Amino acid sequence: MTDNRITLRVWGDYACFTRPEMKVERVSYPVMTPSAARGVLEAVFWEPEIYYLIDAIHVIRRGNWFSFRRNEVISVISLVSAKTWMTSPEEVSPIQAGGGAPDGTQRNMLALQEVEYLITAEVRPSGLGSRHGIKTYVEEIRRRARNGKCYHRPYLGVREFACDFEWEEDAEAAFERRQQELGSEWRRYDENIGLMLYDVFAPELRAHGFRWLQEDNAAVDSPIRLEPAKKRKSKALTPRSTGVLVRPEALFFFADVRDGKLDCHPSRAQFAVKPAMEA
Amino acid sequence: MLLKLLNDFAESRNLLDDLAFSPKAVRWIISLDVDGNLIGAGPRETIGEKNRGKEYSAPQTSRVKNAGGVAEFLADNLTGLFGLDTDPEKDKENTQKRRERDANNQAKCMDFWRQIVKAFDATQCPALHALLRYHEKTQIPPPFLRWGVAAEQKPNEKPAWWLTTAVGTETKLGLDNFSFEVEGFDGLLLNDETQLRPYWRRVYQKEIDDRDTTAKRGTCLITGDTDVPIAATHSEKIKGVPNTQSFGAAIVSFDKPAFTSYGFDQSQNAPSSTKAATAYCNALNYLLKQDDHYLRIGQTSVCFWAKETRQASTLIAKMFNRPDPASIRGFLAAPWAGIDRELVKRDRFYSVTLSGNAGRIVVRHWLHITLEQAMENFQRWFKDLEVTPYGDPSVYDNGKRKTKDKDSMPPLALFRLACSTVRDPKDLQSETLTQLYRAALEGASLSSMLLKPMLYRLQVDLPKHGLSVLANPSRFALMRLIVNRNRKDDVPMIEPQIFETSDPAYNCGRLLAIFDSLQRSAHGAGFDGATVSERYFGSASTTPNTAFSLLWKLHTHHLKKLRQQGEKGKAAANKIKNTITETVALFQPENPGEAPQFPRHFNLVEQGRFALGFYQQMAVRKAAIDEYVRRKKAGEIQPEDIDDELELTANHESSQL
Repeated sequence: MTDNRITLRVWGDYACFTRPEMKVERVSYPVMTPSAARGVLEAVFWEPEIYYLIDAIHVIRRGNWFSFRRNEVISVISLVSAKTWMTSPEEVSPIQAGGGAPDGTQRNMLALQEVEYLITAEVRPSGLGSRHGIKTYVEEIRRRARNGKCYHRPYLGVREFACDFEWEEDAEAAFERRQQELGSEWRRYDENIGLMLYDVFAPELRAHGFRWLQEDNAAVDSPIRLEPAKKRKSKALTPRSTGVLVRPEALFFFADVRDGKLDCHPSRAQFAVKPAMEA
Repeated sequence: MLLKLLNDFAESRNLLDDLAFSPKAVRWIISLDVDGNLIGAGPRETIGEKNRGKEYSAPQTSRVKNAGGVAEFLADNLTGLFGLDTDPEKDKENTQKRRERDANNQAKCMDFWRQIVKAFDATQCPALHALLRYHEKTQIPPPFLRWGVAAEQKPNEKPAWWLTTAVGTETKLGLDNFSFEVEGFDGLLLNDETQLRPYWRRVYQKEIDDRDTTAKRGTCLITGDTDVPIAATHSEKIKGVPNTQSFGAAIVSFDKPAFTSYGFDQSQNAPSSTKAATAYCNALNYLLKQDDHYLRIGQTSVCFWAKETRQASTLIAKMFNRPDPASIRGFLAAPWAGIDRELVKRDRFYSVTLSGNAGRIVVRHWLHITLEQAMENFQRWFKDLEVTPYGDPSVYDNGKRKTKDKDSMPPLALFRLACSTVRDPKDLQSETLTQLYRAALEGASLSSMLLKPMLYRLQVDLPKHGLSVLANPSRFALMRLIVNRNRKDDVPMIEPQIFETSDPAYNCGRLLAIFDSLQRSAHGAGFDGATVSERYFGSASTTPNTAFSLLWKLHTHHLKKLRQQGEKGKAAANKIKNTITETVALFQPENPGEAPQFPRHFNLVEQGRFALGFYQQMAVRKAAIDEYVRRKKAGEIQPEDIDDELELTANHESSQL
C-alpha cells in the first residue's frame, strides 16, 4: 500500500487558497486545499496515465493573515483576439490593469504569509492504461523532486505565490523533524474549518483520466464554452484516449485539522455530497 | 466559514422571522381623501434623521432590482410613483441612453401601480381604491413637484426637484421615499395590519417560492445541505461599510467576466442556497447597525459577536470606546460579572473586519477564538496598558473635559490610543487602529515601528507644550504595551510604576527627569527658558553619551546654584546628588572621578524604555509635590516633616500657578 505513496514538503513566502464564495475580493482558506496540493504535485510530474489522490496535508507553519490590494482586470481575453495576437500582434490592444484603465479594477487579497506544508499523496494509475507499472512513476517523481525538477513552477494557490519543494521519505518523521528545527517558533495548529473545497472534479472522475472536450461530444447543457472541433488530419482521427467526459463541479468536504494534520483521503473524508467512489 | 457563522448568527437571533418587511426611511406622506383627491398643498413631511424622514417597517420585495424596472410595494421614490427621473437632465446628449433611462423609469412606475391594482383585486381594500383614483387623476408631474432651481437662485446652482409641502413651503428633494395615507383609515397604509401587511406577507412568500422553484438546485457551500435551490445572485445588499454606496454592496458577487471560473454564471461560482444567502446578508446588516456589535475603525468596519453569550459583545464594545478607570478596574477584577462562567468556557468569539471597494465588500481580517481566550487577551491588554498617572487622573473620569470628540474619550479608548501616534486624528491610518484592535483581542504584539511616530510626537510636543504633554497617559500606556510586547528575553519588563532595574535605557530616561527637576528647583519660579528635557530629550534618547556628557557638566552647575539658596538649598542639593549617584552607579566612568560613560546610542525599543523611564520619574515627582502641597494646605505638615527639596519645589510650583 505504501509503495505508491509520496510526500513532498512545500513552503513559500505567501499563499492564497481562495475560497469560492470570496474569490473576487479573495479570502484564503486557513490551510492548503487538496486541489492546491494536487496542483503542486502535477507541477512536478504528471502524465495522463496517472492521477494523484491527496492523502493528508500536514501544517508545519500555518502563517499569518496578510491583506493587500492589487491592480487587476475585469475582462477576460477572448480566444479570437488571442489568435489574432499570434498572427498580427499590432492589431490587438492588451487588457490594461490599473491606473484608471477601463478594464482595470483593484482587488483585495487576504492571504497567508510564511507557510509550510507536507503533502502526502497516493499515485494511482488512471483508466487510460499505461506501459509502465506505478512503481516506475513513483521512482520518476522521486527522482525529479530530489533534483528540483518541475514542468512549471509549483505554487501555493495562485500563480504569483511560487513555492519551493523538497522530497521527503516519511511524512510523520519529516513533521517531527521540522518541529524540532523550528523550536520556539513552532505552533501547533488545530482548527475545525468546516466546509472546504475538495476539488472541482470528483476523485473518481480523475480515475478515468482526462481528455480535451470538444464540441461534438460535449453535453448540450454543459456550462463550458468550448472551442469548435478542429478538422484534424488522418493521424489525429484515432482518439487519443477513451476517458469519459467530465464537467467541473465543485466538491466540498468537512475539513478538520487535528494535531496539525488535515486528513483528506477521499475514502476517509466526509463530503457534503458523497462522491461515488470506485470499487 | 465566515458566511456559515453569520448564517448561524441570523438563525440564533431570529433575524429571519419577518423578512417581508425591512426598515425604510419615508420622508413624504401623500394624504388622500376616499375619492383619491390630494389633501393640502402637497405631501406631509415626516421627521427623522438627517432629512431622510422617519423609518417605517416597509414591504420589501425579493425580486432582483439590479436591472431596474422594479418598484417596492406602497412606498417608493418619485420614479416609482410618477415615473419621473431623479435627474431628467442626465445623459441629455446621448439619446439612446436617455431613451433607455426613460423606458426604465416608466417600467418602474408601471410596476408600482400594477402591484397596487393586484393588491386591490385581492383585498378590495377601499384605501387602495383611493390610491388608484389618485393615480388616474394626477397629471405628471404632479402640481406639488417642480424641476428647476431655488426661488432665490444661487450662483452655479444645479437644477433639482422642488416639492411643495402640505403647509405650502418649498423644499429640495433628495432621494426621498413617498408613501400614502387615506382619510378614514387609521394611520399609514404601510402600517395596516388588518389587510395590507398580511397581504404583502403572502405575496412575499409567493415570490420566495417562485424564486426557489425556478432556481437551479445543488449543494450549498454554506450549510452543506444538498439539493437545495441555489441563489442566482445574493441580492440583499450589505449597508454601512465605509467606501461603499449608500444602497449597499455585496460580499459574494461575480458580476464581471474576470471574476468567474469554469464558465459558471454569477453566484453558481459559489453555490449557496437562497436561504443561507439571505441569512448571512441579514446577519451582517444587523451587526452593522448595532452599537454593541460594531466598531468603526478608520476606513473599516469591525463586527464582533459571541456565539451564545450576548452580553460579551456589549462589554467589549464598551471597553473599546469608553474604558473609564472605574470600569477598567471592574473589568480586571471581575470580567465575568453577570455572565455565566460555564457558558464562557465553551462559547466562541468571532470578529470580522470589512472595508469597501466600490460595489464590493472586502474582508480584511477575521478572527475566531474561544470567548475565554478573547476576554483573557482583553484583560492582558488593559494590564499592559497600565501606567502611573501623571498628576490627578480624576480629570479624565468624567469625560467632559473638552468638547472635542477625541478628547472626550477616556485615555485608554482605542481611538484615543491610536491618536497618540499622529499629530491630528485625520492623519490616522486605519492600519494602526486595526493593529491595536488585534493586539487587544488576539493578544498579538504591535509593530515596534509604531514607536517611531510616537517618540517623534513626544520630542516635538515636549518643547511646544512643556510638561503638560505628560498629563495624557494614553501615549505612555501604549508605549509601555509596545515595548513590553516587543521585549527580548534578557531585558526587564517595564512595570506600571517606577521600579529599580539595571536597564541602561530606562535609567537614562530617569536621569534626564532628575536633571530636569534639578534645573527647575535650582532656577526657581522666575525661570522661563527651555528646560534640559525640552531641549535635550531627543538627543538624550537617541545618542545618550553625547547628550549626557553635556548634561553632566550642566547638572554640576545646577547643583551649585541650588546650594547657594541657603540651608534648604544645600540640603535639597545633597538629596538630589544622592539620587543621581544611585542612578548612575550603573554607568561606570572610564577613569575614576570622570563623568560616567553612557551607551552610544539607543535603538527604537530602547528609546521607548527611555521615554517610559523619564515619564515614570516625572510622575513620581509630580505625585510627591501634589501630595506635599495638599498636606501643606491642609496644615498636616509638622515642622520635623518638612522636606527641603519638596518645600523648594512646591513653593515654585504653587507660585507658577
